[in-house]
Amino acid sequence: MSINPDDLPGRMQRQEASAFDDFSKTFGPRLFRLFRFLGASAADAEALAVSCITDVALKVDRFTPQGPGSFWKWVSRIARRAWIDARRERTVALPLTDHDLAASDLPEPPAGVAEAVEEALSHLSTVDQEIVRSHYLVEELPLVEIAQNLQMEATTVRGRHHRLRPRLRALLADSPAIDEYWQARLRKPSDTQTEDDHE
Amino acid sequence: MTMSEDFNDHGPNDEREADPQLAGLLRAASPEPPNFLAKCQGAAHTAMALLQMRRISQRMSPPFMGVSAYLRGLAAAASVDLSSVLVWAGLSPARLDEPADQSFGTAWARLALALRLSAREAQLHLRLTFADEVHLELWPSLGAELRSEQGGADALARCESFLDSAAKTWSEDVRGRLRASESAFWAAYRKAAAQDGPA
Repeated sequence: MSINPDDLPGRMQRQEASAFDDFSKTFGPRLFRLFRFLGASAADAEALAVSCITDVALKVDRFTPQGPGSFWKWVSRIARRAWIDARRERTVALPLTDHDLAASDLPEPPAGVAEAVEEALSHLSTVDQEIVRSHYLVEELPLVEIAQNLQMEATTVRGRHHRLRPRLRALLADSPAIDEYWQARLRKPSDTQTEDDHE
Repeated sequence: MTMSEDFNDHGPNDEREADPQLAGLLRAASPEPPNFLAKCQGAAHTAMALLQMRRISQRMSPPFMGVSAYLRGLAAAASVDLSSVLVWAGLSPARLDEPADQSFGTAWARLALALRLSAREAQLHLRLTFADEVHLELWPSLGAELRSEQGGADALARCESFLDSAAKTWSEDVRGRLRASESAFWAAYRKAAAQDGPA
């Protein structure tokens, strides 16, 4: 049975036990993706997402519905605060910048990003897939280490990585949601910075 | 691993910095760590336990009990497992039976805010924890004060005054830990209260 996220706060306010399970299943992965998108390591994103699950549930009595999608907007505001606090207190690796403090809303990953990335990766060679997965998706290994794992020269892996980036961008643009996201970023260049401005 | 640790000798420290938009999308597509959903579910269950304890606490007038007895009483009345709640606050369950200190004050601040206790009431519970430790008999002395003329008008104030007087006779060790735990409590309470505003 599918879960309507906008039904969750009312059910949680009534303290229906199943609502808390549904909330964790629906919003946990979404929060994890959001923190990863913003630049958190997998471990930091996990800790932040799990912490947000408790924090949001403890505050849910203060939520007032304001139309479809308003619950996620409210949750993401709490997540933004957690993200800024964690960076300010240096409990995550990325330091806080003036841009983070000035941004009124966190940029969010476009819908269906995981599916779009998998589809794009399927068009790459096995080696290039391994480079992308190891460098960005799973372990975030440095290219030098990936080269060792693949028993290749570091310069070769670096060259492959350099060439596959524009290809991957083009492949991802086949997804309407991602293409729209990139077009929007081009229109609002100040919102594109999520990690390139760190100290 | 932090971004800056991804060293290579051919250019920027991190190849991902060259295209932060692409890096963000790829990270957002990364798989969740093992047991992530179980951790989210545990976090939601902890929140639900705290909400049930909060509901009980809001139905009763502040009891003159130390933190440990108060939390155990709330958990029993709400029929919830206290251990996950304590761990969430940063306390091992065994700490409830050990002398309170600075870290106890910090954890109690987090719990008090989750239970929506006023700072004053929460501080009283903390002081009563030390009264329990020195086996201070609140009754019948405090009872006599409360029954006196205007004694019931502000029971909290009467209890605070009673404890202030009693604390002067406590050993330096106990008074030192009381000061340290209260200081930690206030610092954590104020900080968390500032972060706890409406989303």
